[in-house]
Amino acid sequence: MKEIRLHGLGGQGAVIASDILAIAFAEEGKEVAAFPAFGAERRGSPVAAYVRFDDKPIREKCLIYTPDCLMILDASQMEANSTFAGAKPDCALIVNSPAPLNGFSRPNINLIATIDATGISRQELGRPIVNTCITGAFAGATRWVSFESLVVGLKEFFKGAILEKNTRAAQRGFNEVTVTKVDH
Amino acid sequence: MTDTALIKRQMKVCNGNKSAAYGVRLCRPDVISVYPITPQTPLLEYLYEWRAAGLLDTDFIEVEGRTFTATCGAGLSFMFDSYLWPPALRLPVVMANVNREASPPVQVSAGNSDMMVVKDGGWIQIHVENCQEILDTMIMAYRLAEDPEILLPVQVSYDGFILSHLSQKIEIPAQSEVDAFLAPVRNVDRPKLDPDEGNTFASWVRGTLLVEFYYKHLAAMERVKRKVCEVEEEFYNIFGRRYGGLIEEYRTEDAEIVLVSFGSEVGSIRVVIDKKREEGMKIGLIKVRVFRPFPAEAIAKALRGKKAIGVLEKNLCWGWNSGHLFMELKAALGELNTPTPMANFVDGFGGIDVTLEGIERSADITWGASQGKPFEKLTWIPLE
Repeated sequence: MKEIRLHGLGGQGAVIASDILAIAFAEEGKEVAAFPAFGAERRGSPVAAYVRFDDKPIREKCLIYTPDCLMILDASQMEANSTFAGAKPDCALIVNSPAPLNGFSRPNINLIATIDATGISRQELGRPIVNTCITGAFAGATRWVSFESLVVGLKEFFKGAILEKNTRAAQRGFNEVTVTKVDH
Repeated sequence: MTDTALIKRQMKVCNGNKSAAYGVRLCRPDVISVYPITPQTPLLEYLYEWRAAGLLDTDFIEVEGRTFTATCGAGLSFMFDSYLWPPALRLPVVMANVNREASPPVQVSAGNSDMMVVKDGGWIQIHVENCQEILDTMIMAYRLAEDPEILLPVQVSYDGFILSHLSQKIEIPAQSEVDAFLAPVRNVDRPKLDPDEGNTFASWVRGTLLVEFYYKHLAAMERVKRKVCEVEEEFYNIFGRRYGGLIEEYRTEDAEIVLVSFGSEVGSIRVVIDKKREEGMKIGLIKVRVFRPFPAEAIAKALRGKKAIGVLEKNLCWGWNSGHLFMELKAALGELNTPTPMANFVDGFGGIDVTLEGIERSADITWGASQGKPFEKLTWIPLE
């Protein structure tokens, strides 16, 4: 089983991103569980969402404390130690950042992927809703799921012109993600 | 409704609310009564959308037929007076209850206090573990409620947020399969309000007539215990899935201690049971699916000879210094005549996560109890 934790701000689409990923993994025959952190939903406040996928049925209903991957939709969440708590060895970090993270080091984070999701989303969608772009960057960096399967997830939430725009944002995330391996 | 609108068997990623909505849609209710207050869930919104798109041939206001409604937390509290009517009139209503704490102070969380407040209202109450079981139980609920031997309303509860907002891959059955499964109750003689056909409903009742109401209601409740298992066996024959009927036993056969629980945390408890088994602890699990009628006989049989019992739940029974399941189990096990150590663990209030570590702690304390170690009757896991 692999576990992914998404950190962002309300309105960036972290919860929808978790569902898109779940549909993509299911498309490839995996069992999935995706869910948000529960609370009063407020635009702009820190939010978290969670995804598990496995070849076997997923039974646990608890939150994710030992992620294999962290997806950071907003740079502000990089400041909190809790964001990185419990990272498993070889944890992948996917960050919305216009530039590579110079000098960044956290225990167990062995892969750092950066993508200018805010910039790409502004260009493709006309607004900084970064979730679809960063799911593309996730697929490009980890290769845990194919881009085609991701599009199946996108189709569940978007139609017509909005689908086209979000597919482009995800495609650019997939293509333009910068991956750095870290040796501790 | 066109043929293209009929659901084919398919795998789909759905959250708990959508799973419930699919289950309801497949049962083709004639009437869905809606009382849209806060808190509300997206369950009914999915049904509105399908109705608007011509995918569901349902009227939202009517007076006869197969019915559905849904509620949640404070919504259930507000309907309390109405809640008592369907069982008394033997109306086979099916209702989803998306569990939330009913009691103030204001919070948003998935405790089970809402259903515990109404557990003695005369409904059949079933509580489920995951999204597939939500969908499947909705379908079985109609078969159970509308059975001429039963004619009682069924409340299907699932933990708010933890299940209502959890997306899982589920199998949605084909419309034709559900039609076949429900065929035995298709032409059941449902009570209806018809000005041309005089009928008395909810009239003033006293004395031995009221005794007759109560006597028959109680007897029907007892019949539910057998009927739940029969309905599920037929469900299994068509759909290939079953959940143990009244209770599900998990690795209990040679277990020396058993954890008992219900709802979403049962899945997490299974994970802990497997871990403890690998470490050599002889531990099992009983999942209580049907809370009303309480499966006292089945539970007592499953727990006979066990050395200690741990009860995990997220509700409180004021005045008993325990949760409700614990108190019910005490009553059910009274017939065993052997005082088995029983420890109660409460967790999950106010949105607190029910963690694997907390469950493991419950298992360890229960194991200690089986070895003669002293233990508290009630342990608040979040305060440990």
